[in-house]
Amino acid sequence: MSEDDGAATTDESATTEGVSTTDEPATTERRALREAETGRWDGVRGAALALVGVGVVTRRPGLVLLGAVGVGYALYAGVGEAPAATLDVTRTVSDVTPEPGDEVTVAVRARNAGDAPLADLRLVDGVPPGLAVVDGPARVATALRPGASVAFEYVVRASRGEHEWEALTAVTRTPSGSRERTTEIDPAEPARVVCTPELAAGGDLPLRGLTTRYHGRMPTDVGGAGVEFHATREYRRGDPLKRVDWNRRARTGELATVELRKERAATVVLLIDARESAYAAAEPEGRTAVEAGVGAAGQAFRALLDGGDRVGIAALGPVDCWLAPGAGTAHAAEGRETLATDPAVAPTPSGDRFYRSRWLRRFRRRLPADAQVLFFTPLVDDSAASLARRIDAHGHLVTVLSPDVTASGTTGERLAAFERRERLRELRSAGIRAVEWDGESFPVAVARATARWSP
Amino acid sequence: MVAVSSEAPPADGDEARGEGPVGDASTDPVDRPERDARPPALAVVLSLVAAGVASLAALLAAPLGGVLLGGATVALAAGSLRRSHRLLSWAAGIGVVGLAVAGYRGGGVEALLVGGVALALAWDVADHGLSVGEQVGRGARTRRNVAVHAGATLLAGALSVGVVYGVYRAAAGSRPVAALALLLFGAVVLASALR
Amino acid sequence: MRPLVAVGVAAVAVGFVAAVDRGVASALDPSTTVVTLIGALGVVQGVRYANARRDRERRAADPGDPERRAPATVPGAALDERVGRATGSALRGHRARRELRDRTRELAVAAVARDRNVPAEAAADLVEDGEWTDDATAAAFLSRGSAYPVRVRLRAVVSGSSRYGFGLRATVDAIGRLEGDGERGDGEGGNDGGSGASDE
Repeated sequence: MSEDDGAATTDESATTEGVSTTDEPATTERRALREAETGRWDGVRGAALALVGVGVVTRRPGLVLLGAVGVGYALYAGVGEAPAATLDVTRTVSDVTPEPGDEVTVAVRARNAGDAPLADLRLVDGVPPGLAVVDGPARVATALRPGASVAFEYVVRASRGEHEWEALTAVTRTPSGSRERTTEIDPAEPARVVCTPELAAGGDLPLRGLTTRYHGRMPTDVGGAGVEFHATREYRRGDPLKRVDWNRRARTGELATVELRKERAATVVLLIDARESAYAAAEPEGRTAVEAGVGAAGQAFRALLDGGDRVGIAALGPVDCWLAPGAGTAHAAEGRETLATDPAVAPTPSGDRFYRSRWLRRFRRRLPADAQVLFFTPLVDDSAASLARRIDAHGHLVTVLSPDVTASGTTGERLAAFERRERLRELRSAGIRAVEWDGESFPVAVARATARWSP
Repeated sequence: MVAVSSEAPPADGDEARGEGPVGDASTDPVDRPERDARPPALAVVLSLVAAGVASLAALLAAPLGGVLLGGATVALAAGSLRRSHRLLSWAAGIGVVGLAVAGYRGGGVEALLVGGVALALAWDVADHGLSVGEQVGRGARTRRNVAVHAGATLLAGALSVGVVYGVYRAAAGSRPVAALALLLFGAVVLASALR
Repeated sequence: MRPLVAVGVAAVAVGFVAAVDRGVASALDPSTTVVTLIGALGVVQGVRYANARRDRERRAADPGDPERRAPATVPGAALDERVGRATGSALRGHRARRELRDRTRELAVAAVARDRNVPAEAAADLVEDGEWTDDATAAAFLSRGSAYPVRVRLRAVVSGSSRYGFGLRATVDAIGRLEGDGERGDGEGGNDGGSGASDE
């Protein structure tokens, strides 16, 4: 942490788009709470009085004088009022669109815009709840004359999502420290950091096994003359040789693969559990199930798109999120945006109420008839499991993908872990495929599972 | 059965990020340091220096007084170390008793007054340091805040001493105890009334 | 407040005058005894005042901990709260105790059914009779009939904690041992993949 006062922080080499650093924020909001007594100097009056008394009794003028000094301090403590912090705050972020894991330096400058001096000022910055500070507390203590300013900086580590800074807390005290007042200061344009991770390039092969091309409930023609020619598409390395359109090859020399109707691309919806209960982790500072689910969904999204399927995204939670199944580069970009910044899968829960039946009705309406659902959920409650069964019963193949965020420390945690495993078993015995993974690579877990599923 | 095909090469020119959306590096303990809530070093040092001055002043008057003030110094250090406001209050109390003893043993008025202000400063800066540590912490910049606060307390004490000593000198020799008592009684009443 | 302020101001004024002017001072100077009494009163009052104020709580604003990410809930935290209530005072924890016992019983029945490959009713009977585990404490916890072994009852009395707590922990351990055989993963053996799987 730099020790010099008032130094400008523009030695960071990076753009500062989007956040003005020079104009006065005209609509800064300041919310000052009521003044409170700290009670620091309580007892000084009593001590002073006692000293005077002893001095009088023993006829020692020195003691009486000492008591007088005590009274002087009592007066000093009694006068004055903790001022409301009349500050103009500007925040500068070194990189507004970082990659996940990057370190972002935040520089805060606060100027005393009032005409009263702030003799005892403590500032605590409103770091977004989804970000963690890795260097230096986001705080400073200082004293500001009118017009003076203080600057401090700290470093946060970027993580997926859109993070917006909250109000800066300013605590002011009288010079003697006897009274204190808290003010919340919200600059007109809050600083924002948007971190959009790339979808894993290359798409993991094992993830293609998650969707089934031969969905038993899809109307298909199977066998005999019914194996009808559907379309030709460009040959992809690895397509079985018996599917190659040899006629075309003979004619034009191009390689093309015949797509039979049975091999139609699947329509998949990645459903991410983003209810408040899904923001659970094995430890309070750990990676939540929503983060793990979004990460896994990102990998699946890319893999399935590359495999020719049409993929969509939805979120189970109070905030609406629906990206209809599609394909192509534009759709891939949309998917990446949704997974990164959609408020439904924000890094911290929204706190809104969740209406389950309403959500289910809407979801069923939107879900295409032939769509399969990949459900990413930690399974920490029965509601998720029953939802999976409901959707499956409505005719959509559901595969449950569950990150293991249970701990095994206390009795309650172990019980929760047992109950989760029981839910997984119940789902499997109801015919719903379930894959769980825990810290190890998601594609590896899927590979193990698909090996078991396929004949 | 899923057709086996090899991985398609990366579509864009970007190199595949090793972590991608799967792993942030955000779970190693280094990233989550505990905030250092200890009082700023300057506050602790100032407080101990002031307490030392007070001890010296009391020692001049009476050894017992000096010992008590020494004990108060130790208690102040302990209070800062263990971050206990209560301990600091006890230290101040012991200090006041020490000064009372020194005054009783016939210490010089000047030494006593200096000791009094020094003790008040010592306690006040230590207590202030604790609250700054709790709300801001040692890792942040706090020097100016502590310095301004210490200066203000010192100034208030100097003013009080100035007035009191001035009155004392003006009334030299006559020992108007009653008058002084009356003065003080009035001042205490005023202080309570004005709050 | 007003009269008090007036008194204070008057006292200060007279005091100042008396301090400087000898004549007024000598007029004011009361007898020694009175002065001593007043002094003693002052001491007592002062000490009482200081003491009373000492007990008042020190108050300061708490700005929280924004440097950390918002903490995530750990699955089972609510259950731990219920465990705390269940093992706490005897009266208030009644509902928590029943709920925890029911949930543990469900888990035990499922684990036993799976472990010994018996239908659910048979497993429920085994649990009821306390024959599902070697641990006597766990068996006693879930069966309505049997009592805790003497050792456990003694420990409970000596340590002051409730028997329920011992029973619960032993049962959770026992279930854990049963679970341990069925390794976590994507399906134990072939029974999960095969039964009722919708694809071919």
